[in-house]
Amino acid sequence: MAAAPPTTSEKWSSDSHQYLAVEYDDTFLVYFRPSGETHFLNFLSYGMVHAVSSGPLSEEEILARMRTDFSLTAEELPETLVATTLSELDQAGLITALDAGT
Amino acid sequence: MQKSALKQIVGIAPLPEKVMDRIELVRNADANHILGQMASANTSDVSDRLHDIFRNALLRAGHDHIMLQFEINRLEHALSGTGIEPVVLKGGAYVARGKKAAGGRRVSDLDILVAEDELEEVETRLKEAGWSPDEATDNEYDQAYYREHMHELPPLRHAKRGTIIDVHHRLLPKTARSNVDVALMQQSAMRIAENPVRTFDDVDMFVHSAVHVFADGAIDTPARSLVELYLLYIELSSDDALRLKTRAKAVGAIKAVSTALWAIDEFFDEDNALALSNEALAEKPNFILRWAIATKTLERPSAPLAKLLLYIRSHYLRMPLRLLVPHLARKAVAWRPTTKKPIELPFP
Amino acid sequence: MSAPSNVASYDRRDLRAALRNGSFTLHLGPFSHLVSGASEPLLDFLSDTYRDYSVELTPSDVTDVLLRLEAPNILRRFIRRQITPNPGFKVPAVPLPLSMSPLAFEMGLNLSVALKCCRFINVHAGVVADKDGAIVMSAASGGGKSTLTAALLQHGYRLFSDEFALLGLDQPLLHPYPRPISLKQETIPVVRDMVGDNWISKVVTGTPKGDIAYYRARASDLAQDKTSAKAKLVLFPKFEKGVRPIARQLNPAEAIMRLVPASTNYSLLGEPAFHAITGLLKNIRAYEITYGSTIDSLRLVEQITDQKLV
Repeated sequence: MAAAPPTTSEKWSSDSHQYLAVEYDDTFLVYFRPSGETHFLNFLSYGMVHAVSSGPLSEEEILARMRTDFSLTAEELPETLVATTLSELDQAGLITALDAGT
Repeated sequence: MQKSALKQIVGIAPLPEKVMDRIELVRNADANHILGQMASANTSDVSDRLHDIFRNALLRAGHDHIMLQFEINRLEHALSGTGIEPVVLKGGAYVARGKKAAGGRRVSDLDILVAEDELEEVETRLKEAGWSPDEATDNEYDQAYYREHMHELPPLRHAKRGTIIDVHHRLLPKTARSNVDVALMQQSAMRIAENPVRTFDDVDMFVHSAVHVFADGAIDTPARSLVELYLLYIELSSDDALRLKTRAKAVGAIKAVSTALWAIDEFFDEDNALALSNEALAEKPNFILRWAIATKTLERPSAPLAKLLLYIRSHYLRMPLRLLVPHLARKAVAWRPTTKKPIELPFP
Repeated sequence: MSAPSNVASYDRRDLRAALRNGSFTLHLGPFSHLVSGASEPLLDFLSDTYRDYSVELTPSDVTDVLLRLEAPNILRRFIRRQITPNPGFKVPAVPLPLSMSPLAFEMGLNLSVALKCCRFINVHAGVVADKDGAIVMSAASGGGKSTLTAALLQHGYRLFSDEFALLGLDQPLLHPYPRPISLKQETIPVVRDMVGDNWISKVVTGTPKGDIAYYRARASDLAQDKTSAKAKLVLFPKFEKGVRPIARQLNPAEAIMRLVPASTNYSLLGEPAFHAITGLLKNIRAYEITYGSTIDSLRLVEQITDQKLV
């Protein structure tokens, strides 16, 4: 459960200086400096962290980006999967929500 | 422990020459959870092997500090949008402010202070963000005890990270005989960078540490507490040191602060601290208290008696007699199966 | 202060006195250990299983490990004598009868290294090495790791450790810590047949873990206890009775996912640990091997290494 329920105006971002990633086939071993934790991310989770590192994106934009980048159909990558993954990444601290206003 | 040991640990006296004495000092520092502080303070004249041992301690502390900074980050995350600006206390504050007292210090829990009327919202937000009552205190008696008589919510543990947060709304229990003006201290707390999380200023950090050690605790970790007070003290500017007395008076912590200053002189030969203590208080802290602190810190053979005395004193300071007996009785049952009944000794 | 010398070169009387004074200092690999608590069963064990280990009777410097073997209470110092390891922090150790002093000694050292020494990433794993590099073997208890370690020692490998893979933080190298190999229950006769009776300690019977004996480390392995090595292979051995031998290659990420929980301090060590563990798996392969006999396990290791898969 995320602390603050996501709002539609919310954008997500990450800071690529805060993590180290090593790729093994389609799995990523990611060290997150602020928490000192090592995470194992699949290509999709890592893809999302990486996508928002070059500029904030909304959930909708992330969804579209992931479908294009990994050639996935709406059926293969439903909205709910992206929403759940974002919430998990948020909990781990790997991505941060920015309000559109700020 | 030798009286000189504390000075060696904080690096103001040379380490023992004899190997066995050095080993004993390291053993003592480790047992008193101040090996990391010793490592931070003693950076020269260290053999390779001692350097290795120090490195172990510093690596552990380094981990704690990262963990703690992240917990502060998660706390901000959980409270975002509420306008609540909690004050991080103790170890958390030292780490966040990069104080000398943080060097090599192990930190396990995050302690925060909020206003009493913010308590409910903080608890709700923390629970939404994955914290829940710690198993050890998740029973009716402890929950009620914390809420009614203590100065904090029952400890909350994060389900995924396993870390503990203690949310206080006072610095001493509601039922304590003396109390400090926490609102006054909260007013002058300062933000860490642009974040909503705050810490006390240097003077109040010292005041709070003194209160924590001498007006609250049973001085369970005397060596560690004294090292902490010393490290906070030596980082005070001379203006801050002069401000201590007025500030301690204003917030109602003059006894604790004078005792702390007395102890800093007693164990670290800081003459200025003694002068300040003498000036603040007409007389030294009472004889029994001084004896008990020294005995327990130096682990003299009469330490068990001193410990008992301090334990009773801490409960005496924390709550009126009405409450003292049932709680001690309960602890006696839960913790010390050999103690048959609550201890009956005259209070110091 | 005397220079370190092997246990066999000292008088039993002097060893006893040093243990009694708490000045007995064992040097092994990257660690030094100060031990106190004399007992005849421990002296018997040391003069047999530790005969080739390097010891000082007075420490020449501070030590990594401070282990006290002591009675759990005053009564047990005299009547039905008991002993418990005290490594300087609280441990869930059960008091043992004095005859099990060797076990208390081994347990105490293991706890100290596992929980106190964090200059290395400690992974609960066996490690052996030849000139090409080290094989790291991580297995659940009863996975046949000790038997496989013992077997590889008969085939040109030297012992690093059967319990602790010590991975350097600055460079991803493995460091030897060749303590005796602890053998439990049915592995005792298997290893005894393999290496000969002379190498196996007296069996300690009726311990909380059943029968326990120790396979002594060779003097040649002890002589190289400062020579670190790069890893060449990571194995997850699994012993299953009657199973057809099979090797399954693992994604390095999966191997790391299995090594991390087997480490007592990975999460404590942060970024350097991340670099070290990814460095360990760089350019080498990891396999899960399943087998039903020692011969099968050796053959699998040989196939994997011979096919130059590593």
